[in-house]
Amino acid sequence: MAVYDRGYRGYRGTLMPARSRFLVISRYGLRDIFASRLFLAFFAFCFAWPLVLLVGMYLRYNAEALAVINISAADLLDFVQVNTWFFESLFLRAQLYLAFVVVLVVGPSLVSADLRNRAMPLYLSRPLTRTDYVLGKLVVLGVLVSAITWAPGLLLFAIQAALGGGEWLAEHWRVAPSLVVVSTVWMLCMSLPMLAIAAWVKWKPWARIVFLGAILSGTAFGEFYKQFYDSWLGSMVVAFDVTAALSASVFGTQASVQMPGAAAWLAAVGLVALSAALLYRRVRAFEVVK
Amino acid sequence: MVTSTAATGGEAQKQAAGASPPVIDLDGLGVRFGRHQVLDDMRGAFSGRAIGLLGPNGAGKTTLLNTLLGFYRPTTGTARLFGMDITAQGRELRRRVGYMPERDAFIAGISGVRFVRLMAELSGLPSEAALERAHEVFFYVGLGEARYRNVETYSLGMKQLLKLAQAIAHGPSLLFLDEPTNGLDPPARLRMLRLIREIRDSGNARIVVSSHLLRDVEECCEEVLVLNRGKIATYCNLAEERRANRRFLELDLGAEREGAGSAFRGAIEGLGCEVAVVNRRRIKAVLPPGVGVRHIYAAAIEQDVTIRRLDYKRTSLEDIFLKAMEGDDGRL
Repeated sequence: MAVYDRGYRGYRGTLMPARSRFLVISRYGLRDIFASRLFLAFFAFCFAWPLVLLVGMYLRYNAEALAVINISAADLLDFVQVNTWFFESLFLRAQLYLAFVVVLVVGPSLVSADLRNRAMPLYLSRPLTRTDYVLGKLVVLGVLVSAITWAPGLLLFAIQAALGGGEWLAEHWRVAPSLVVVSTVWMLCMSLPMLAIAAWVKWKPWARIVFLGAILSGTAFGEFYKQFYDSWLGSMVVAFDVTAALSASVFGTQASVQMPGAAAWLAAVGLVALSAALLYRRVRAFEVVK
Repeated sequence: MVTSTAATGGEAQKQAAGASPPVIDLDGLGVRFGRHQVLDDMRGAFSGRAIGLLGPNGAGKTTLLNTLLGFYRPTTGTARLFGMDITAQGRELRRRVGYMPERDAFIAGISGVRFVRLMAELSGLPSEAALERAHEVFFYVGLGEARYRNVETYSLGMKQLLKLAQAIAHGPSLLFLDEPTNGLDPPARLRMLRLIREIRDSGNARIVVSSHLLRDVEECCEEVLVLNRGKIATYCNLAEERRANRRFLELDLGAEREGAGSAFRGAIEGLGCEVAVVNRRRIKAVLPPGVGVRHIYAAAIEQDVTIRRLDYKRTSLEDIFLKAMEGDDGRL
């Protein structure tokens, strides 16, 4: 079907593997997102805090550099303790807030426009399942969240391990897998509800408002329940409490909330399952009116 | 239940095709949404290059297409495309299928060529091949100059062509077109029908056209399935119908001497024609093999009869459609 020969012909070339076909959706999604300069600037800003921490780590082990900026090594060693707390509270928690903004900005644009413009029949008339579609969209958020959470976290961990030596590594090895697990679970807990809401609301600004509203109302209700009944059960619907309890259970630290780790996992799994079910109800070629 | 014509036609096509399976093989296919039976016990095998799905609104045309595409799961029976089961081998089938939906459907915020490229890549084409094909199909459907424009800025006619472009970008061997001429002005409609005929005649893809416009189906399809209330009301092989119609004649005779008309009728009956007299001046005849119109004219000259009008009596698709829509009491 060359341009000069305007006749129809079939395609007889090679085909890409079916199993990785969902990555096409992810690739196009990522390219569209990074086409926005504003988002690109924000995404670059997300690396500022890890960079600051990296500089702190470097200075901690570099007496010459400390002398140049007139700080004593002892002061800095006291001030910057590179331990589990450093990675969990100082690094990861800050990055998760930024990742929340990323999910809030990017999530609705991935799904709502497709549903609003009836693109689902186009996707699903191809060798692509609904799971592939959801997976393709989820990978976009997964890549973005990973890039600002566990990826720089592991980099910091590797650098610290190199600077701190084998003793430090033996003491803190659990930090590395914990960074990945907490970031991934958090990504699923935020991304799937965001995609589900976007699929139902179909309009980006409203999807964001509904998502924020759900988190805030959950927090308000949970806090009220905790105060009124003096029970940690209210934490089950408070996103920050669930994150804190889950993170503490994975990192093996003392949680800042009363909620047990198992309850946090239960809340996370429940949220993911509910969101996936809601999303699957919406991601269809056509609505079936019974 | 499928009409006996369809079943016979389907079997004949199966035999003619030998080992190659029919394009569409409906095996008691039924789809139910809640208490509403949308498709009911559809049976038949169809192998035409272009198959038309006709029916009034709500007859089940789009539901049938959507079920064949795997969007709806059959509640009873099944269907096969090219011998592959739509439920068990849906993914493999959709690789070979192109689909042009009835309503507006696009991905917002991207250029036309990028949209078609994405669709081709999702069908399995490597990125470079998909880009090449996207450009080619844009020129093929006549949107070459608009391919870098954002799809949201396309007019209705352009969006129809864009939907066709994405449906053929990956070179499918079966093309489902749902109301392809919806909302098109006359020139755009003609262009769309020409493209459909070209694809059909290329032999690279079989086409299923769903439409409620008889003329569109008549212009580009060889076989027609008329659906009514979720059932196959009738099946018609338009090509065979056209060939058969060549044997039917309707003649208007001019004023002639006394008894010339009877003599003329006798003469053409002598040629082996079956003759029916409508009135004194009009007769209908069925030509036997080997007898052509020139023999009729020769008989008219011999009997000194003037033939004022000679028509092939053509059963139009409209006749077939209206007959299929008739209720048992003969009302529409």
